[in-house]
Amino acid sequence: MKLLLIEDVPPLAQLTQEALEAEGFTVDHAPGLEQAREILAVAAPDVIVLDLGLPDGDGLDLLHGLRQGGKGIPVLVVTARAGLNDRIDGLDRGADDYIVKPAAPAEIAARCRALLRRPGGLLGRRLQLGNLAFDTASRSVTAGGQPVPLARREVDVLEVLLRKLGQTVPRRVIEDAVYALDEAPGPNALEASISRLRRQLADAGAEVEIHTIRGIGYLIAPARTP
Amino acid sequence: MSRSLVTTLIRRLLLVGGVLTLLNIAFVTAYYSADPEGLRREKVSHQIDRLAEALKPGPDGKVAFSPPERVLKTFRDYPEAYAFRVEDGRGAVIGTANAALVPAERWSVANSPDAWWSDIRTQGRSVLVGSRRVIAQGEAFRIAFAAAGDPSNLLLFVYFDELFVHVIVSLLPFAICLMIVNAVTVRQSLRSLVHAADAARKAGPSHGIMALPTRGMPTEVLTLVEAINDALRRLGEALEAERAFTAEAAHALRTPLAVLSARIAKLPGGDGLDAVKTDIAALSRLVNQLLSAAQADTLVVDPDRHCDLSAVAEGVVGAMAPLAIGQGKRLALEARPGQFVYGDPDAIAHALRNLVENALRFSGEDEEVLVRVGEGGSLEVLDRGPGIPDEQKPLVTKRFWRAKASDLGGTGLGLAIVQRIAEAHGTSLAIRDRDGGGTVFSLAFRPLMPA
Repeated sequence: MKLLLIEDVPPLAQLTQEALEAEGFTVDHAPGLEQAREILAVAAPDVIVLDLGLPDGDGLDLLHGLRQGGKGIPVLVVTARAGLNDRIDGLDRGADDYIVKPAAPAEIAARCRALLRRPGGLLGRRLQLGNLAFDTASRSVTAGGQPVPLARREVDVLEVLLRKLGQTVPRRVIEDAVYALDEAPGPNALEASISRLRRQLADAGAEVEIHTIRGIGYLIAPARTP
Repeated sequence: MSRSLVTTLIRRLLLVGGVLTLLNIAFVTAYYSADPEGLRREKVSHQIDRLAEALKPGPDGKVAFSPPERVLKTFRDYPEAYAFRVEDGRGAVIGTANAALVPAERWSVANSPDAWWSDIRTQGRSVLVGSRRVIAQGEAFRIAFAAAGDPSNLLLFVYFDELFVHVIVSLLPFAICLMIVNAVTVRQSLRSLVHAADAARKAGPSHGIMALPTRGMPTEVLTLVEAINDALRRLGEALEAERAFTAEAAHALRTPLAVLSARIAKLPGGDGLDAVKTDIAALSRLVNQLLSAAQADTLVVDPDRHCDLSAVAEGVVGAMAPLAIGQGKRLALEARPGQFVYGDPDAIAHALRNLVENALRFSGEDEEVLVRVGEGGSLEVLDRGPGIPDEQKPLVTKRFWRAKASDLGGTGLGLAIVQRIAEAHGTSLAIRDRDGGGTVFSLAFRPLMPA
């Protein structure tokens, strides 16, 4: 996993780089926009961690240029500028996610992995959570190495939830992904699928839990150890 | 109580107009009273005019003297006081009444062109005789009138006639026109002031201080508008300076905290170190909340800004659900889609995050915190926590206030920030007990389309 870290404060850059390398990333570091552009010209990182307040300009400009150039590299913006309106501004300009300093390196790593879990992302082929593994190519699900027999619908629901690991997935997002346009799911169809999925995952000993966020949708998380 | 300047001005101008009219009447009265002789002559002239009106063409086409009954009545009632005689061009008398009042030869005394009137004494009385040549239908006539005293108060008619001609006819339409023009002028002149007030109401520092329009302002108002613009500009600069300071302070504080967090994260664990990590997390939180509080202080919401409250609530609840789950608690949303309100979606989301964080902090394991978006712009956060005693309800929105027994890692700023954001939206945070235990925090935003 190649990561480009754009951060101007030397000790923070060094410490973040070390922590991300410990998490399994290969990290290139750029202390400013100019160096970042040089690196981007010759290498294609899988994910970019971008600080906004840089000595030679605004990180959002780089982001804008990147998106104008049609580059879809996932970008996680890290900033100390947490204005009430900065979040929208950053996301509007093409940031995939946003995190406010001080952020623990583990949190940065987790957010990067979440970005890479998207379809087409580096981690998008094999989705992992606890002892649960999902191979998106063969569409097979295993728990602790043992196959979990799931119907197609449940497999589709699980994929949506795993790709958005750690995030609440609204019902309509799951329905849009799982049901074809000409299929009209009944009002309780999704509940029924989730309920079957929960039972089958529990039976297979998967250490995951699907939480209902009443009024919004569902969220998958590692099972809480009692 | 404030009164309309337009109304006040118009009322005063009307009053002045009224007073001037009365003064004019008083002046006319005084003028005539000062010249009783002149007035007597006016009376004679006035009566001759009345008699002249009776010279009309008859059915045979010839001019005849046919006075109406009301004219004749005066002469019948007062034979000792009034008399007249009407002659045609050849000197033939065609009409007369009480001619005996004046000796026949004296009727013609005043026939000379220079002196049309004369005072004569007859039978021990003073009689004023006047005569005038009048033209009616192209024929010449001579009308003479005589009066001894004035028992019928003919003078009063003269006076009213004068008043009518010199005050009512000439002055009143003029006065009415003047008053209307005054009212319109006042309204027109103050229109620019109304425009300035409208602009001032819309001026919002959130998108830069808007100067009030100065084009077409009268000089007197312009001075005021320019003074206000100057004050607005300085206010804008002060706000901008505070915003800039907050942003710089945020950067300056967060960066070393980030370095510190990263350094500590690298160290191997241990009891002492875990405590330090907790402290650093608390410090980071405090810094974030302080900066949010400073930002909320300078928050000015664009009055035209609006958003879907349900979508904002869904975003916040969705984003905070993992936090709730991590604490073994539940978070739920009750919202009908598409509840549009006036307000800044980012600021409202910020307020809601603080309310949810607060509710989660005081909720027990497996308890649910409910976010409810109601019809008509209400946003509520309901918990099943210990509740807030009534005497403490007004205190919880104060900065750094904490219930003594509930020192659970809060900064004491969350609800103060919520309150400030609510104020920027023209509302305030309401806190009430929830049926069955717990607390309801609610904000009422202005719906885009009132129910």
